This record gives sequence, C-alpha cells and structure tokens, in this order.
Amino acid sequence: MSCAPALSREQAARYARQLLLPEVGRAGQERLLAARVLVRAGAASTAARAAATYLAAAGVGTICLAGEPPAGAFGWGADDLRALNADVCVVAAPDHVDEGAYDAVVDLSPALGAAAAAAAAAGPDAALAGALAAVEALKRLLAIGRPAPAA
Amino acid sequence: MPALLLREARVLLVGAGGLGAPAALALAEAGVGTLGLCDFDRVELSNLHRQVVYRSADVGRGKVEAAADRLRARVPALRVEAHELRLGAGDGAADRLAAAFDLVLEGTDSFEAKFACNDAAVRAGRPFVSAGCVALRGTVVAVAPGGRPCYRCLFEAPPDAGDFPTCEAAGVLGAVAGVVGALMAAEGLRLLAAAEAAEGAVLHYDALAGRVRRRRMQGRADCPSCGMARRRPRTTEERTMAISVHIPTPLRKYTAGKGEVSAAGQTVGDALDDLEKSYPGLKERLCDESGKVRRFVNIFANDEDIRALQDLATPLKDGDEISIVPAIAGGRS
Repeated sequence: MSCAPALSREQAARYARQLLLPEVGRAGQERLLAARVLVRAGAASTAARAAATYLAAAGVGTICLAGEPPAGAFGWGADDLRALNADVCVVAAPDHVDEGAYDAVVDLSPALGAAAAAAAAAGPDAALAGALAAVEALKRLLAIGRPAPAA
Repeated sequence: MPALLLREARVLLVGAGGLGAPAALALAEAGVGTLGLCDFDRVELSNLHRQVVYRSADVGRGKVEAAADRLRARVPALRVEAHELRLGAGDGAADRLAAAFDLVLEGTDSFEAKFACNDAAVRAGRPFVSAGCVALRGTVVAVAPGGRPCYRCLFEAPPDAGDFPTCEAAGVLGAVAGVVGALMAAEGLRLLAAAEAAEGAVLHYDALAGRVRRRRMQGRADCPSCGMARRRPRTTEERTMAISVHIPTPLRKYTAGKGEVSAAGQTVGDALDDLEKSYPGLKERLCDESGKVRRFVNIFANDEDIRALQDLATPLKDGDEISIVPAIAGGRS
C-alpha cells in the first residue's frame, strides 16, 4: 500500500493546488495517502466511477472497489485509476466487506433510492452525484466541514 | 431532453480545465452530438488532481488534443471540434464561436474570458453558463437564450487583478471542481431543453456545508450587455430587527472566522452599517467610497439580488436573511 513518509517532489507538484488549502496541507495530504476508502459501485457505475476518479486524483492511497460495474458500459476500474495516479493502490473488495475496515465508504448503489437511480444514468446528474460523494468522503477523511444534509 | 435532439446539439466548452473536464465527460456521456473544445493550455502535473479527463501520460500535451482523444475513446459517437485559442474581448473569435454553437459553457479562470463569452453569447442569442471555483466553493451562472439577465448583470465588469483569489494562489479541492463542473453541464442541458421558456439562475456550492443553493437571477437595468430593466418595489417597515447575514469565506477574516452573523437595521444599508460597528473593515470590502455596492460583490436579501429590489434601501424585517456573494473565477490554471 502506498503510504510514503514524506511527499516526493512529484507529489508536491501533483497535489500542489490542494496542498495550498488550509483544510488539507501537508498533514492532510499524508492522511489521504494513508487512507483506505471503499467505493460501492453496483449499477450506479457512472457516478461511482466519477467518485473513484476524484478520490484517486486527490491521492487517496487505497481505493477498494466493490461490485463490478456492467462490463463494457464505460470501461473503468483499476487500470484507469492507476493511469490517472500511480500513487493509488486499487483493489477489489472481498466477498464479505467489513465497512469498519475503511476510513470512508462511498455508496452509490441503487438501493439508496431516487438519488441513486439518477446516478445510474450517464450524464451530468451522475457526474454530480459522484463528485458530491467524493467531496463528502474527502471531508470525512480530512475531518472538515459538516456532512451534507440528506437529500 | 430527447436523445434525438441531444445528438443534434452543438455545445461549445470554453476552458478544458477543472470545470471543463468533468462537464465535457458528462455531456459526452449524456449523448450530446458535438462538443467544441476551446483552450490554449498544455496539461501540467498539477492539473491532474482535478482535471479528470487527463491521465499522467498526457502531461505536456495540448489540452484540447488530449481531451478530444479521451472523449472520443470513451464515447465513439461523439464529434469533437478542437479550437486551440485564447478567447478575449474584442477579437471577434468569441462571436464567431458562439454563433456556431447551440449552447456556450465557460469554465476558465479568466474574468476577461468570462465577460467575452457572456457578451458573445448574449449577442448571438445563445444560452450561456459560466462557472467559477476556488478552494471549497464555486458559483454557476446560467443565462437563458434571451440573454436576460446575464453574467454582466451580476458582475458588471472584470475586477482588478489580485482582487479575487485564484486556484493558483488559494488552491482548490479537485472533487469540488467536479461538483461545479457537473452543475455547469446540468444547467446547460436544462437551458437547451427548456429553449425559449428557460430562466436564468445562479447556483452556489459550499463544500464545507455540503449544500448547493440555487437562486433566481435578477437583471440590472443599466446592464451594458443585455440592458435588462425590471424592478419590484417593496413596502417598508419601521422597526429595528434581527437580520442574519451569511459571510463568504474570503471575508471571514473580518468576522473572526464566523460564517453567520446577525445585524440590526430596517434596510440592507442600515444592516451593513450595523455590521461595520461589530466588524470594522467589512463594509469597505462591500461598498466603494461613494457608498455603492462594489461591482464584483452581490448581496442577496432572502435570495433576491438587492439590485432588483431597492439596492441598499431594500427594506428588511425580523428574521430576514442577507447573503454576501463575491464573484469567483478559478478552475483552469
């Protein structure tokens, strides 16, 4: 798993814009690099991909994908996330997931109802649901802000 | 919007950065037929944490080319038009582009580009959406195809350099840009689908609060771009009252970090004077020497732009809410 003790020069450049934020900074970035996040994909694959992409881009060290998206829809997964950021370790979730083993859980599975149904269709609503879920996960990892009010 | 019409739609995206990247992906996946990408920049390593259309191997490539390759790979039916140029005021390129598309989306970090795109879209009668994002918040301004009210109604003219924070100086969280870029795309499709019935809106996303607020946009009677004239007077009340005031992050240094403060007054102007007593220095950031609201600040009373009401003379009553909203650029650099 990737959890470097200090940021490399490349990491300092890659994460420059978020290192500037007082809510992130060096300590926050190291926290992200050491974090483990579970992303439940299921049928809401477009939104889940958006969420996983932002988590990988931010340098969340370990992203665990649960529930493979339908094959061929919009090819994504471990390879694409690694191509985005080699700092990130992408793993498949075991059959029985212990959510307590993760620092944050992103759940966009359709069991959540109408919001997730919108998230299952491709387009701006799915992109929005995914990005909002990534922000909430990052807030949790960084211990900042208030959780979003329930929709 | 019916898929058939969406496939015929031509959408211009100015700025292929933190806001343009998620918007482009969302529009492509939604089934938009043609995307025009306009940018002049190259991909840098520091872009990758939010400009999610690029991958590590794209560093050094032209953004328009790299984005077009990736969009075509993901959505083979998509037509991508590359426009590798920088849009500014008065060069004619913005006008030519706006006229050649059905919808103009703008997510650059340049106020000059924002105003140039707004003016070109208003002149061409095209719906227009402008988005800006910095740190943990962002703004989306949607302008209906009639061009009224427009971006220039909200923000009269570009501010002086250095007046407003940029992503380069203040930083930004990538996923926040993702939210604002997706909102920009959603607003754009909403305007396209509603056509002549579309109404403008201004949206604010505050990541710390986890909330998107949507407000109606009000025109400015003397707007140099669209010349909108609309006023709705209200009756006054003669009492001293408790008003809650929402303070945006850049101004919280005057309020000891507080995002919500209260003030007393019978009008917005009275409330600002009252705030100045408790938080010296705040009013100068909001009003110029002549006492007018600065052109790059918006003040909302109960979610209505006070310029559409009675400006600083807008009456207030107990429990009313004032929101102070500065302009935001950001997104690309």
